Amino acid sequence: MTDKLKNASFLVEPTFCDWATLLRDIPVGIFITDWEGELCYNNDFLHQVLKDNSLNGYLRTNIFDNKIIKSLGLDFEFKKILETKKRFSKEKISYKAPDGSSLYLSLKATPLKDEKGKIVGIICFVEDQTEKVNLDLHLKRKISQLSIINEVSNALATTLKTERIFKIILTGVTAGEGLGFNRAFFLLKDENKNELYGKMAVGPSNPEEASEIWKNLSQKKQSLKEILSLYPEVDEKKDIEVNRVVKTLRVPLSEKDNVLVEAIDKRKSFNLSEESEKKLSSSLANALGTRTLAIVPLVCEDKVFGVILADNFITEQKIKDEDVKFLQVLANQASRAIENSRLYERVALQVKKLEEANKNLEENTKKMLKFEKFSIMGQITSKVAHQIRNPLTIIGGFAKSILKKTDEKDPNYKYLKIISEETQRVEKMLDQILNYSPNLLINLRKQNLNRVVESSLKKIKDQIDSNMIIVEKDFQKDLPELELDSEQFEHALLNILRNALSAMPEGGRLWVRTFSEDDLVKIEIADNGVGIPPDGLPNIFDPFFTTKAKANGLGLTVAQEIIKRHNGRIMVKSQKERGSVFSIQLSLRRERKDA
Amino acid sequence: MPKILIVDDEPNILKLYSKELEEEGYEVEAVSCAEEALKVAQKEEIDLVILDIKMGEEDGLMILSELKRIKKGLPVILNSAYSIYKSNFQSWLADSYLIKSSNLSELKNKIEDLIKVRRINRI
Repeated sequence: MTDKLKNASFLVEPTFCDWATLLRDIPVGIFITDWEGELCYNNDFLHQVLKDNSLNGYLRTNIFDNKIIKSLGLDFEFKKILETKKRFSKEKISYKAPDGSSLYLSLKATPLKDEKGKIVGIICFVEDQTEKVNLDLHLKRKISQLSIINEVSNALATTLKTERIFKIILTGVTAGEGLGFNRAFFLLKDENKNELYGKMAVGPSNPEEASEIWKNLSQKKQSLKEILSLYPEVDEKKDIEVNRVVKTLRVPLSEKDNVLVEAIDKRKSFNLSEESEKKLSSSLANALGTRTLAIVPLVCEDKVFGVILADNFITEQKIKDEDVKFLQVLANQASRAIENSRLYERVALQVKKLEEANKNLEENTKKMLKFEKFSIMGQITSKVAHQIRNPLTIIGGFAKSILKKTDEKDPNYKYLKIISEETQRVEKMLDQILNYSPNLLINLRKQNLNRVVESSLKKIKDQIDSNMIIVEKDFQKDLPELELDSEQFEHALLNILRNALSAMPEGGRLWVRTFSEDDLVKIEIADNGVGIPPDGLPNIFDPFFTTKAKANGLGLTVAQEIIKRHNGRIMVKSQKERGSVFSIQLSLRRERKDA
Repeated sequence: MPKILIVDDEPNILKLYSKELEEEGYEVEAVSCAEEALKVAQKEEIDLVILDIKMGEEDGLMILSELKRIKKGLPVILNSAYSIYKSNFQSWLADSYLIKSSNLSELKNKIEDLIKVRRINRI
């Protein structure tokens, strides 16, 4: 330790000439003061660093009075060194040189002591670290740009909505330290109108608003994600003015000399300013309030969607070419996201269409199967029915023939009568099946529907009375007349009424109501009978469907067929043990299908 | 006594119709095929024909026009288990179209009417 000190003291005790030579040749600005701050020495390199001669030992100046030291706010620090005897160092001191250049300096000052430790002066080293600081700043900026790209990608991955994509990109362009453009605008291509139109914008409308926003941002150090998620309302508010501006922007794509159109046509970005060769058209410059802005096209593969415009409207900072390049990176991301979103929309639409087609197909298949079932059943039934007709005629005919000659007192008389009646019953059934022919013509004439309903009720009066049914009629008096084949329509009503009666074997109530609604005339026939089981409800109008042992399952089919021929509809609602309601709708408009 | 020719491939139909019509006082000739029917119609004096349409492979409508050709004014009643031939234009030649039924009163009424008309026309 002692040896080392000895060696050191040997080094710092050269002759004055040796000192001066040593200090002169070090490539660092150096100056020495006495204990009062009077400059005693400085090397030539100091002038080179500061680009100034005012700190010069020969001028016998005091550093506390020196303009450079004062402007850097260092006079106080130097006083402190003399008082506290402590070293002082400071980095990245921003310094404006007399030639106008901006520099960053580093400064290290150490108190000089005599053998007794008394302060005799200060020695100070000044270095130019502008390059280093700029490199640092550049790096920092690059990192923050990269982190914005990363955040924008993350944010974009959360959405397929184009509005949201626009918002994310524009916020990314204007947010934080990365790009930090003041304002950003989205202009999209409208293929139909062959123009560019302003879609959305982000940015403050004046410097006050801007400083408010930026203060908030820098205090909170929010990530892009937070900005996007936490302050949607604030965003909207602050962007009102720019969004008003953006809505006024419209550029026909035919304006080939417009730089925006050129950006699209050539897929090229531009950095425009007052000095640049290309200039913004004056109408756009007026609308935006600036001529200094970056333009980048939104390109994805072979498609161009539009352009992003970004400017420093508030800070009036010059736009660097590398910022434009970075903007292009963001624009490419935006384009990809927009393309994805459009593809997604298209796929979603296709899926929907396919689903619909599938549903239709399913329905049609169901219908087809139903028709096929009916058609085959129809064919079989028709064949069987015809073949039964002959033996029935023979059996019934002979029974009647014998019956004529049999005395009523004969024990066989009633049995013969039964044979005859039962065959007649089967024959009637055959008539109904075989006359269920779609070729019947209908004979339409203007009718009062109430009369037709009344007449059909009269026809089953006996059955109503014997079944102990109470009928409640509610007929609209001024019911409009409509075109009906009264005979056929009455037949349909009878079938429905009979169906209702058979649902009430132990008596009940039957409601029959007629009324008109818009251009429809409606009939409702309701009963409080046994109801139709839910699984049978969809088949109730199918031929040969029946829940009753004694029915042939054609009554309602025929009724529906007749109503259809009148261009009407029949619907049924039913609840087990509560009853059923049959609603018939007939149109007053004359547009029946020709049967 | 008016003479009725019945043409049907069902022997029991022939038996039933013969019995019933004979009891009504008609003379009845029953045949079970088209060829025979034409033969009888040509040879004998017939006042009315009851003609079945679907007779196995044969079609009553095929001999309807032949009957009408050889015996002008001979009334023919088409009697079938099927109603669809009603719309067949060939059946328009017939004087009546009745669907088979165990109740023969409609058939009998028709026969009576047609024979009455024929008699009037002859006088």
